[in-house]
Amino acid sequence: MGLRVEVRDASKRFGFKIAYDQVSFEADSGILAVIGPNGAGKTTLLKTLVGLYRPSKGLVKVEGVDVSSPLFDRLLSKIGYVPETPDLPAWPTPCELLETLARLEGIDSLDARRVAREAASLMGLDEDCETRIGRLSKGVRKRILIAQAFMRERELYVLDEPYAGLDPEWVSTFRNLLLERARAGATIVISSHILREVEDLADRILVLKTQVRFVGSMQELKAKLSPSKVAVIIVDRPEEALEYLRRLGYQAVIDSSKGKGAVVLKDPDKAFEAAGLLRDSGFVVREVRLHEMSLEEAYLALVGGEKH
Amino acid sequence: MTCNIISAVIAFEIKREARKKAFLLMIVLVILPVMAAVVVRLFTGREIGGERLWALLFGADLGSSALTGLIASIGIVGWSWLVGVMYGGDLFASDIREGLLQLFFLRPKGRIYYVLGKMLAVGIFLTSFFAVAGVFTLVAGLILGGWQRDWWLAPVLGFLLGLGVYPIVLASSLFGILTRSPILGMILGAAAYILTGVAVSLGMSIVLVSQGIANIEAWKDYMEGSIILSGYIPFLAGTQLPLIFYYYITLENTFTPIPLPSIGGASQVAVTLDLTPSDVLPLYLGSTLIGTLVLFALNTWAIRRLEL
Repeated sequence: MGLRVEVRDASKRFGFKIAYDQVSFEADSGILAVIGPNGAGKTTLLKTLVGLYRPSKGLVKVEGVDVSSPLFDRLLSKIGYVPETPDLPAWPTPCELLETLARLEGIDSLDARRVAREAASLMGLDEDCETRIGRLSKGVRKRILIAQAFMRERELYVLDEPYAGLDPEWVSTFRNLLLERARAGATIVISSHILREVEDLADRILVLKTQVRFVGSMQELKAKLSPSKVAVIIVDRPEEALEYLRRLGYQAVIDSSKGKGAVVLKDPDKAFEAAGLLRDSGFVVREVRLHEMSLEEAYLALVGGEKH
Repeated sequence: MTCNIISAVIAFEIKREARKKAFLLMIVLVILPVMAAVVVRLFTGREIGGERLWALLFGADLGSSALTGLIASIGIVGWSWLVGVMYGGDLFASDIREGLLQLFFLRPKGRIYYVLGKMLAVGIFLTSFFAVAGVFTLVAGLILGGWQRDWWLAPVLGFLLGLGVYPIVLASSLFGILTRSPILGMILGAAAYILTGVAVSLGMSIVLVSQGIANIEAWKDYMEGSIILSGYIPFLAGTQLPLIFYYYITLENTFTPIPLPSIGGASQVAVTLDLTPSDVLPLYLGSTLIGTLVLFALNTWAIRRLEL
């Protein structure tokens, strides 16, 4: 089973600056994705969940233990955390670092070496294990950070932008690892810029922009934002087609991101009717399809069009 | 388990210190007096104007112990506080900057064991280093002045110097934690060391001059005593506040009454002109221990409340 995360009216201030404000949510077994634009307070919130920050106001509890309490220390071996930036000291080798971290978790020195090697192997670091970290790329450093979080089976994973800087060939491997741990019952809180990955992964979504804008399932998020579907008509002369459809009272826009010559109709139910009218007027209609809003589109609509 | 965790931090920290570029510089500084002694010995064998350069440089009656003292003054004693400032400023601040601290703090009891381990490691490292530096100073003395009666004093005093540097390390590390900058930690640590020295010297000069004018004979006695005293404590280190105690003892012997705050038991300390190291050793160790404990507590407090 995963550790239960409970956040109640939590706020964090740095002087006059508010990082997050009156945030409330709960998380249990499964994957909760935290998304929001830059400066929304995602990193600060995730750091609070693992006790690196103390909330200025409100309560943040993991398995019923306040993260500010000394008792929280006891839970730390059950928590894996991947920080956003791949900052690591340059002088040690990945194996030296992982072994030290394993020993800090109470594993004796002989076992720690084995655990460190296994963790390194999990993230494909075998060849780089004896190379000084300073000589390794950012992508490899990110894998070291992931390896230290996944070196043991945890009950809570807090992952701050784990895909950022990760080599593309490792994205799917890491994704499978996450799904495997989620299936085993772990609680996973993840923030990411790769929205499609989160969309596929997450059981629940939390949209944060200093305050919580939304918490719920992907379907609930899409349902909240109407329309959740649009129609895309690919035509030969999109500008003229747009003008023609607007004259007839259709709500339409040109969106080249959905294909060359794409005219997007906000009401998907009128797609074939509009396509027929266009064809009758001499336009070449190449394709008519329904398009479901992606998380990115839903998210942008929710946070006011800012892309994070 | 506790020993395993602390020894893991100690091993990691000692590896880090040994791989620093500054460590190479320190090795050079340690070996330098020996190399200089060899060079001086080679050149001073020549005769200049009918006299040996050796005699011209040092005088015929200069004892070998005094030579070792001279070498120590321009050698390890001269730059020991700089080593302390350098290591202290960097001790925790670089771990904060490099992101290592948050990985350590995410391990159970990480904060407590991390601080303990780091402090023990730097203590072991510096005392061992200065003890070795003392041996090299002795070798330089042997090359220049031949066999010395108190040959064992050099490494012992080197070890004591390592202990004495400890408060400087901790003062600088405290500034490093508070500013989160190794450079600022070093600068502020150096400033604290120099300014406390200046403040104490200035204060005592005012006392001395005012009383010396009233009693020239006592002034003369004081100066003689002071020189002998400083000759026996060439490795005086730590923050310079303990200088107050030294001045107090010296003054106690010559000027009465002294308008300084009463120090429990200090009036019972008998200081004579044939002072030996065993007379000042308890004071040296006492002031070092008190300074270390106070600064250790402050460092621990600062680390415990640190948000990363």
